[in-house]
Amino acid sequence: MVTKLPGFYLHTDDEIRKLVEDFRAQYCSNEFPVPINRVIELDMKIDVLPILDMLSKTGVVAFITYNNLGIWVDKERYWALSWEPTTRFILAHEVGHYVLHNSLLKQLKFRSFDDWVKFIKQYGTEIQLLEDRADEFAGQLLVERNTLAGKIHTNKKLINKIKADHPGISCDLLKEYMSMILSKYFGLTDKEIYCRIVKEQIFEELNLCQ
Amino acid sequence: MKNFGQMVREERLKKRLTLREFCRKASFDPSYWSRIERGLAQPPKTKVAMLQIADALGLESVSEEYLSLKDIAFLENSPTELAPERSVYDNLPAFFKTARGQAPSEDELRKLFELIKSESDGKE
Repeated sequence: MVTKLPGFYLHTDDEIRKLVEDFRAQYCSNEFPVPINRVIELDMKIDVLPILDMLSKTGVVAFITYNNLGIWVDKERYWALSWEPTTRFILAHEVGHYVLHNSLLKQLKFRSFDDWVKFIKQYGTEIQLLEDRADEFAGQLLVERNTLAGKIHTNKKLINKIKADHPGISCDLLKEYMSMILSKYFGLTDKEIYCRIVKEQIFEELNLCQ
Repeated sequence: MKNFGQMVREERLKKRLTLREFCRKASFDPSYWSRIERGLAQPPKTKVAMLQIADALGLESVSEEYLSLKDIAFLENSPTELAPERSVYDNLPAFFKTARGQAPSEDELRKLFELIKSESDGKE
C-alpha cells in the first residue's frame, strides 16, 4: 500500500508565479539582484546558520529545519564570494520550501534517527518532486520573467548582429551567450539564467530563434 | 535575562545587518559568530574583539549598549550553561540541497544527524 505524504501538493508553475508575485510585493519589489540574504534574515526573520564543513562531511549544502527555525548552510558556500551566485539560488530555494511546503513541514514530527531516515526513504520520490517546485520558486523569484524578457529585448540588436556575423549559429549558443551577459545583473550563475531563458521561452517569444 | 548572543543579535537586526554583513564588517567567522548568537559558544574575551563588535554595530565605546554588552560578555564564561535547550529532532530537515543533486545516503544522513546534534546542544 502506498502511503501518501501528508500535506503533499505539487504547485503548478502558474500557482508558483502568483505566490512569487505576492512574495515579491511583500519583501523585495523589483530590486535586482534580489537581496535574498536580507529578505530571509531581516524581513522574514529566519536565521541563517553557516555550519563548518557541512558539505564535506555530509554532502548537504543547505536545508531548512522543519520547524522553520532556520536555514542551515555550509559555511564555505555561505561565506566565499566566489560561491555567492550559487548560494543565493540555494537560499531562495529554501525560501521556496518555506512558502510552498509550510503546511507539510509543520506536520512533521521525528522522534528518533530511524524515524527520520525511514521518512526520507519512504517519501524519496515525493521529496524530489517538491525539490523541483522549490527550484521553480527560486528561479521565478530571482529572475523575474518580464525583467528577463526586457533585458533580452534590449539586446536584440546585438543578438541579430551575432546571427548576421555567424550564420548558422545555434539558438542554444545565443541563449548561453545572453545568460553570461545577464548573470551579473541577476546575481546568479549563467546556468540559472540559461534555465530561466529556456523555461520562460523568451527567445521564442521575441522571435530570436529564427 | 537575555544572554550576550541574543543581545548582539537584536542589536544587529535593529541595525538591519545580515549575519554575513556583520561578520564581514567585524572580521569574524560567520560559523563561529552564529554559535555565539545562539548561545553555543562563549562571547569574545579580548578588548579588540569587543571593539570590533562595537564598530560593526555602530556603537560608541562609551555608550550604554556597548557597556552592557561588555559586562555580559565578562560574566558569561560557560558555553554549556548558555546553550538553549533545543531538541535535535526540532532541527531535522525533510528537504536537502545536496551538491550532487541526489538525496543523501544513510551514512551521510547519520553524519548530518550528528552534526545537527552538535550544533543543537553545543557539544562537538
